[in-house]
Amino acid sequence: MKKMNDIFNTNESLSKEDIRNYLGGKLSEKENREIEGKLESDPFQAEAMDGFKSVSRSVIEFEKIENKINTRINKFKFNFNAILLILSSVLIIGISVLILFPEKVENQKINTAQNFTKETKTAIVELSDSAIDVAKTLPTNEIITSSEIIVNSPIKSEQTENLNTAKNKKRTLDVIKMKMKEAVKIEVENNYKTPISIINSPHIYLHELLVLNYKNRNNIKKEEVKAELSGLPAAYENTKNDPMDLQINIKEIPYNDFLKAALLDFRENNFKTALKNFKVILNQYPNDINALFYGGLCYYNIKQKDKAIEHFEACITHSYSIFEEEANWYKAKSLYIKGDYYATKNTLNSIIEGNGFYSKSAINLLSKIETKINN
Amino acid sequence: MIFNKRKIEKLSDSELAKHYRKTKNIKFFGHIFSRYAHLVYGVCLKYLKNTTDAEDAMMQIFEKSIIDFKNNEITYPKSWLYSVSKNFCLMQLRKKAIPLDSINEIDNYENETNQIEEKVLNEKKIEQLKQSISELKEDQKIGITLFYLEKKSYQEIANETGWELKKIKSEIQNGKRNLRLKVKEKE
Repeated sequence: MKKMNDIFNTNESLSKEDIRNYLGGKLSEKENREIEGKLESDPFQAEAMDGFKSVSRSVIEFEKIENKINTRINKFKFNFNAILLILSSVLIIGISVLILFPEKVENQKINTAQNFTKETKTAIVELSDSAIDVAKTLPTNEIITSSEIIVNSPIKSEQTENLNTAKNKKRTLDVIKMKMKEAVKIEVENNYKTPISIINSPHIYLHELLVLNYKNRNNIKKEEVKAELSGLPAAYENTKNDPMDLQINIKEIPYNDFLKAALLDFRENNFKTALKNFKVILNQYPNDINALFYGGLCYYNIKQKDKAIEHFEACITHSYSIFEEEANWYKAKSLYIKGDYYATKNTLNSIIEGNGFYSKSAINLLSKIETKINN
Repeated sequence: MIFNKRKIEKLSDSELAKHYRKTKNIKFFGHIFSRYAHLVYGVCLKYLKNTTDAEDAMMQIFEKSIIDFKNNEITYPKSWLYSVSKNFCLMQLRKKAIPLDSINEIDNYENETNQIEEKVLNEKKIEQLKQSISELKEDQKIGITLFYLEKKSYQEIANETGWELKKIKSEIQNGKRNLRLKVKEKE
């Protein structure tokens, strides 16, 4: 009777170990039959087994991917716990403030409304300024320069705009001219012929570099350390002030001015100074796409590949797609110099499939990797 | 309600799905997906034929499922994941304009998703089943008898009948489908 029941039984689940053992050919006929019974009981399991059987080494590959999935789940878990922790802390602090300073809360309501943004703190931990100072910069021929970014990046147009309007045609022509000018300056052939990328973001150019146009950003608050002067003539001033005499001033600078200054540093290859300023922006606006992207490039140029990858990944998954294509490409480059060819290939394949601006470059890099692996 | 890891592992798929929908806590969904990730990947491999595309597809199915499980009442997560994985892969193939008939063996399996079968048959039904087996086509009858009643593996059936693996699977599948129809007719 049990045997008859087995015909329509769908209860047996096929484990990862079952697949490994069955395909490894190490089981007895009786054990094989048990697994085959599981396959016949469920087309999901049967098709999965066919899949593993059809591609060699796929069981080993799956184990690597499983780790990635687990990391992903744990990352979400962390975020969920972190959000809970943050919310409960905010609640406790809020209640305490209400109890202790009821009149101040009323006065600060306007400021809080102005400071509201949709952003939440990302998990990226930035390098300290001293670690940035000691980092080594890539040789000149290997760095990603601002000119490369300007010349070798797609032309963008906003999703909501009609591509055929005279205004847009003029804007596109202006960008092409800018790219050509930059290309002449650095004596390379520019690549502007490729199609326009449609993005969901309002954008402008600062120092010829593309940035998302945040319209409601508050001033950036930058801490400045100043030594308190003693009142003596400059010649008699003690230059090695006592730390107690040092004063921290907070300087407020309009967002666009601050960003422009940081981009100018980037433009002039002062990557460490630029990065420190992008960090200031990220401290106040953790999801600022401009600071994430250009900060990522700075990290790349000072040989901090992992940090660069983290920043590019944040740009790829960002709600604004302004740097999605570039971030994918520079992520692939970072993975490549890191020597992680497997991950590089995955990223390059997705770029090639997307058939966007960087697909040709991705094909070239992919063949370079294949050659390296085969040798 | 606070769940520790051990407690979560004991929850059924539908309970996990319910808790995930209610609490939005990813750990519940994570457990469901971990249970079937290897099957999702295997199905992706079967249709897409390489590990890179299969991995990419699996990650996209994972992302899609996080949202769908949160917003919809999914009673049978395993069946749901099967349908979503298969449909996703077929869509990818259509996008690449790969004719579906070039995919080996797609049609050799039942397309229906897991149905909830009666797990225990009563005596009357056993009799109906025996009768129905004897009414099957000769090769299907052999396949069903050797596989289910004599508990022989594919290899043993191949040794005994001289059939290829593809034929063995096909006779068992078709035999099973016809049996189901015959039993339903007799009810």
